[in-house]
Amino acid sequence: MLVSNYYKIDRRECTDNVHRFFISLCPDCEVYKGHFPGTPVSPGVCNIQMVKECAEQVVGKQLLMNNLQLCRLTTLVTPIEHPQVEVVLSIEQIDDVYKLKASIGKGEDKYLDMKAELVNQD
Amino acid sequence: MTQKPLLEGSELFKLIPQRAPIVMVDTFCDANDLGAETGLNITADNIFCQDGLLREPGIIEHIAQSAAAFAGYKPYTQGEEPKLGFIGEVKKCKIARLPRVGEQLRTKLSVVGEAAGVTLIAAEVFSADSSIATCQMKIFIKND
Repeated sequence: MLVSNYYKIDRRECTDNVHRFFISLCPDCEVYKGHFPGTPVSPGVCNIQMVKECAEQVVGKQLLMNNLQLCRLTTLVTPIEHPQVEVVLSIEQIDDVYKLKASIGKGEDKYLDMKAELVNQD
Repeated sequence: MTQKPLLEGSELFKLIPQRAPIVMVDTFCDANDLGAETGLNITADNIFCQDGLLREPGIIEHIAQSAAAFAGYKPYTQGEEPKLGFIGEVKKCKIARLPRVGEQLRTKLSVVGEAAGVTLIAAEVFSADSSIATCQMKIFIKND
């Protein structure tokens, strides 16, 4: 985990190549000291990183996200209002490129959706 | 940097609401209505550094805070506090390589569009003469 104590994975499941991670966001992560003082908001980039780390678990390799084609952040996520979130992702490997489609949400609600290409980290 | 920074170090706190450990800009210069130039000296204690490299979220956050600083510059010149800005969308973010601790990022930011509290920016991040990343971003500024 790049940012320590940002989240923990409670469990994961996989059906038809769709991977679902059930995650708890940790409100005492030190990133909230600065984002923002007195108003904890989960940094969008930390959530993108969390998705990437879930993808790394799926492929079992360290990856570099060298092309974030699109990421929409539609809801402000906070560890207080959204202590539990779900990362849902699917990965298609074409030659050396992993094509990732993913979202963060809870049940029917979507907070973030993204499409990215990743490659093996040298 | 071509010019002396307009603001540097903790002076940037006049433009952005982020604080340690997630401050990802340390210089702000060349501001005009169309854009600005920002910088970040990558230090080993950066929260987004791993194995001596600034990882993807550090680069993207640097761009986001560059945009936040730009958005905060005009209010600052008018004596106002910085407003909270949030990334609404990241698009076409291509990272050529991860920069190392000790490298000095400088980022050219240009405003592509602006409407109803949403600023659309394009950014290119350089280190020395090499391009590190290019990115487009929509930033929402919270007015309250």
